[in-house]
Amino acid sequence: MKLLVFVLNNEEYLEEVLEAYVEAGVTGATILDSEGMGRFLTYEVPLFAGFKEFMKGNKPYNKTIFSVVRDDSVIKRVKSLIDGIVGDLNTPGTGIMFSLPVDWASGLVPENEEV
Amino acid sequence: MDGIGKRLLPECILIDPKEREMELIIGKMVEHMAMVKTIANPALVVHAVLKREALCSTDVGFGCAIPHAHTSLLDTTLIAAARISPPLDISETGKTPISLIFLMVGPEDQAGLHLKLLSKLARLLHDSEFRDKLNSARDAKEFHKLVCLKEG
Repeated sequence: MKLLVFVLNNEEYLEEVLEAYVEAGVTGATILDSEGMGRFLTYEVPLFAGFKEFMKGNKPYNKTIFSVVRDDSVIKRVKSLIDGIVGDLNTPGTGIMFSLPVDWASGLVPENEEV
Repeated sequence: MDGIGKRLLPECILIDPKEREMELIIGKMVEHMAMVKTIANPALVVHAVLKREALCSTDVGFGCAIPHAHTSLLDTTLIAAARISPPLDISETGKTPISLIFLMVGPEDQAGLHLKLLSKLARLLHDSEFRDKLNSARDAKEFHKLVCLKEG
């Protein structure tokens, strides 16, 4: 069982990304409004205001999607579909995806009841 | 990465300079930098710092300011400092008058390094005991030693 975390920088792709999640077999996820460290520092902390020029092209806000995935193979399918939607995640400003092992969870909706 | 202590030369530490305006103090600090490092056009470096200052204040609170700029005029990041006594009451409303100024200037293509040094400096200056020691330093040499010790 894994926790899949995806920080999606371009919110415009959210709908497509979630469709990809469902297609890949992820049947539940939590979406949070989030903000990058660079954006916060340059726009909210006066000391770093001079670095705004280095933020050009970056999206001010992003979405972070959490999902607990029981089957590891689902993550591979998600990654493949996401690459096709947002592009190579190694391209700066696209997004960050990672997974963590989950040794215990409570409150997850049974797979056959999830949407 | 060379830290703050290596980039802040004792010759660039002003203890209680006679200047009482931020612009003049920054000018004096750059002047001292130019005495120990080759700076083609110190006036333009001062201009770059003041231009950044005009964007919004670099007063980080606790009586400390970290004016800074990146400019194509430099090929390495330099730091100067000034201890001001009595403190300068030029800060924004509600903030402590400025007694410690750290000026940092560096090349445009080293923004990452500039950012790291700036963050480190701000972090060190959050320590009230450290600030008190700097404010009580007898001379530039002691001031420099305190910075090096704090940086570790």
